[in-house]
This record gives sequence, C-alpha cells and structure tokens, in this order.
Amino acid sequence: MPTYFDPHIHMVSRTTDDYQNMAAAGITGVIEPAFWQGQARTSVGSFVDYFDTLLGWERFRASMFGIHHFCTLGINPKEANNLRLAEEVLEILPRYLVKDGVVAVGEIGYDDITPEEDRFLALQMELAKQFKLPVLVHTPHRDKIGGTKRTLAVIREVGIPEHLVVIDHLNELTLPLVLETDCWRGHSVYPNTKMSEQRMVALLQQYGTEKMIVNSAADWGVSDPLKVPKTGQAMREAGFSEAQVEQVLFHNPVDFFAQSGQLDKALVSTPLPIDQRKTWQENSALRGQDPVIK
Amino acid sequence: MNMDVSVPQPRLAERSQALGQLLDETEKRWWQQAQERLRQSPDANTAAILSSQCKRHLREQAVPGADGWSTIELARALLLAHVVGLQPGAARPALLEQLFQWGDDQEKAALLKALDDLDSEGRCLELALLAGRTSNPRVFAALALDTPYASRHYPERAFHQLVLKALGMGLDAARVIGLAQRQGATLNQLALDLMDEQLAAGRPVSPGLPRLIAFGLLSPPQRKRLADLYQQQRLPTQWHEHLFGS
Repeated sequence: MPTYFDPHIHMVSRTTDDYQNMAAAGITGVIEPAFWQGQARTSVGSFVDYFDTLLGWERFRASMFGIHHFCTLGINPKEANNLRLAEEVLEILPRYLVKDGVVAVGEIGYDDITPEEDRFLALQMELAKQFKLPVLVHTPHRDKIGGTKRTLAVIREVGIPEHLVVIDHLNELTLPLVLETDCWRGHSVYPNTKMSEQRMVALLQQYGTEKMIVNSAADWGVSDPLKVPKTGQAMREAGFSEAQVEQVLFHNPVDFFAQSGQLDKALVSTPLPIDQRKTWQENSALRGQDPVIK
Repeated sequence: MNMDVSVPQPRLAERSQALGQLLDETEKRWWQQAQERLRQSPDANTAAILSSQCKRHLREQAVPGADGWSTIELARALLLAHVVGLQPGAARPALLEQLFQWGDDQEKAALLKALDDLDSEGRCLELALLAGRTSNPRVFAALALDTPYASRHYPERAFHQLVLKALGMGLDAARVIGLAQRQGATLNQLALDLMDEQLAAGRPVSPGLPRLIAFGLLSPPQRKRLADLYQQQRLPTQWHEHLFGS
C-alpha cells in the first residue's frame, strides 16, 4: 500500500470514522496546525485549552487508529487583529513551542493584511528562529497575490531561512511567486474553495515535484480528509510514477517538518501499532466498544 | 476618515413608529414592559437580557420600507440605542463592544445594522473591523450592506477587504453603500486579481465584480485583457456594457 502524510488537517473537527478511513487509505501521519475556531475567541484561556487538546487528547485519539499526530502552534492571522488577546497568546507561545509533538510555528500569515497581522507574523517568525522551528504560513483568501508578496517580504525582513518556511494554500497565480524563492510550496486540495486534484496535477506537470507539498486542510467545513490519497490517484492516472507520488505526498512534507528535529522519518514511514486498550487521562474514544490491538 | 455619503437613512427613531404598528396586543404589552424595565434599569445587562428575549416575545416579520430590517432586529436595536444614548460619547464604544460580545449572531447582526445610528462619529471602528472577521454571512451582511458605516469610517484598505469579502460570500455588491466613491486603481487591480483567480480555478466570475471596477480608470493593458477575455467568452455578457458601451 502507498504511504501518505497529510501535513495540514484539523483533526479536532473530524470524526473517528475519518481516522479509520485515513489509516485504511495509507495515511500514516498528520500535522494539525492551530487555527481559528470558526468564531472569534475572547480569552487566552481558550487558546491554552486548545493547545493542550492538540498536544494531548487529539494526539492520543489519532494514536488509537495508528496515525502519528504532530501539531504546529501559533496565533492565526484573523485573531492577530485582537491586539490584547494576541499579545497574551504570544506570551504563552514559547512554553508551548518546546513541547513534544510541536513541529513548527503555524499557521500564521495574513487575512485582512493589516498592520497588526504584519506585526504578529514577524514576531512569530522571530520565535521560530529562536526555537529553531520551521514555519507554516497561511496565505489569505482575499488579495492572495498581495498577501503572498508581503509574506515573502516579511520572511526576508525577519531573516528566517527560506528553506524553513512552507507557504500554504497556493494556486496558479501565487505558486510562481514562491517558485522564485527557496520556500516550500504548500497546496490545499479542498472541495470548491481551494485546489482540486486535477488542478494540482496540472501544477505538478507544469512545475515538477521539487518542494511541492499537498494537504487536505480538512476542517469543520465541507472538506475531505482523503484528499491526499485522492490526489495520489489523480497523479497516477496522469502518468506520474509511484516514486513521484510518494515524493510529493510523503517525502516532501515529512522532510520539511523533520527540519524541526521533532519528527522521525523512519518512525512515520509505518503506522503506529494500535492498542486501543490504552487510555489518556483515564479516557478513551471507544465508549465501551471492543478494543482493537494490532 | 469620514467620507460624506449622501444616502438618506431613516433613523432608528423613525423606524420605531413602524415597529409599533406591526405588533399585536400581546406583543405591544411585552414591548411596553420591556421599555419600562430598561428605563428603570438602563444598564448593559438589562439591555442584553431584553434583547435576547425579543425572539421569545415578538414575531419575526419584515418592517415595510426599512431595508430588510425585521421587527426583532429593530426592537433589539432600539433597546441598545436607549441604553447607549444615556452614556457620554466617549463611553459608548466600550459599552457597544460589551453588548456585541454578549450577543449571539442574530443580536450581533442587529447591533451592526444599527451601528451607523448608534455611532455616527465612527468611534467603534475597531469593533466594526473585528465584527467583519465573522464567517456568518448574515452578520457580515449587517455590517457591509445597506449601511454607510463602512464607507464613512473605514480606511481604504479595510474597505477594499470588506467589498472583496462581500463578493466571496455571494452578497450583492450593489448594496454596499458608497462603493462608487471608493473605486480607483487599487480596487481595480484587486478586482482583476480576483477575476484571474476565479478563471484559473475554472469558477464563474462573481456577478458583482464589475461593480468594483472603475472602468474609466483601467490602464490600456487591463482594458485590452478584459476585452480579450470577453471575446473569448470567458466573461459573462453583462460585461459587454462596461467594456464596449451599450
């Protein structure tokens, strides 16, 4: 079976069915970036509990289905505009960035492209430099070209090495801007609003596979946690070799985040052994069902 | 920033008469009690509780001639206006921010619809910008459509983002008050970038996109590109009038 890695998926929003289907499709590991919750948070405590969930319960829940779970932490661009809150989150971030399972700062970047977003993007890139972590950058839905250009400018201003940055949610118009740099190139294959499998394949045909990364960005929206394996199938149908599929959909994302020193490539090449008898804080997702052990 | 937008807006006080005419006897009794209670305890907490209760005591119906206001939205806005009106101007932004935070999305929408009445001086700009980060089209529409607040008080960049987000949510750009006064070369470029993204993705171009564009300010290459796209039938027929005249 092919091996896949989904480097951007919000599993707290997904069901155990999703984990089972992902494991069955060959996904051995995921990275869950911290992001907003669909509505604005009003206190730093909500961030504390969210970060703790990503590091605790969600990581355990993934393990119950044989999936390696890592996360990236940061304050997302939307909420960076709430200055008081953003400053409080920035204060707690350093102690979280060194926790087990944190492989990058992210997702950070631009939404409305405001001075506040500028400030917190730069400050969080500085934190990444300080803690020697890669960075996952979200590019905005509106004025995507302008937002991507400013992201690249901030990377240069902060002086973080480009090979430590992946710029995400790229499309036909923004990928060429990133190709001029040493940054990694992230693409979200997401129904209707972002890329489709066919458009992704066309980009790979035009620009090759080097530093190209694909994710599902699946979340609480109408999304599909199997978009990585589905893109693999579309690549095969378009004539890409198995090695090329594995390059884009496993090696590239793992190599990028392995720069954190917190992600062991050999380990994530195979699924986690499953032992559903284990519990986390005396809790389990089984809810009385028979535990699977394999 | 205070752009002069000469669009006649019926004020809340005028609309309150329309509300009274739409309520039946039971509703009127509750509404009078609610107003009396707020007069006795004119604080944020009382206003918030009564605002939430509007949904339980009033039937939702459109208020005739009031730009999509419903009876419940109008009642909520009037309650807020009463308690806000008792505060000095400088204290109003904090009070409105508190009421906004306490409200559910329907209550937030009522507050935003009335924001131009509640804050004619633009002191609540930060609150408006924060509110605009919602993903709820109803809340966003309350901020962006049929109200001159954004056009009067938003900096250029924020206004452009508001218009682009309205299009992204499928809202009618024709209802963004003051859009024509905010057109220019920058918004032209943003609109054309959005069009290029939609074409590259094989999606339909947003129907409201031409409303963002000052066609007279397009550069010759921009105009030629649009004309070429139209000739290739990649733009809807409505663009013909803008590009070639009627």
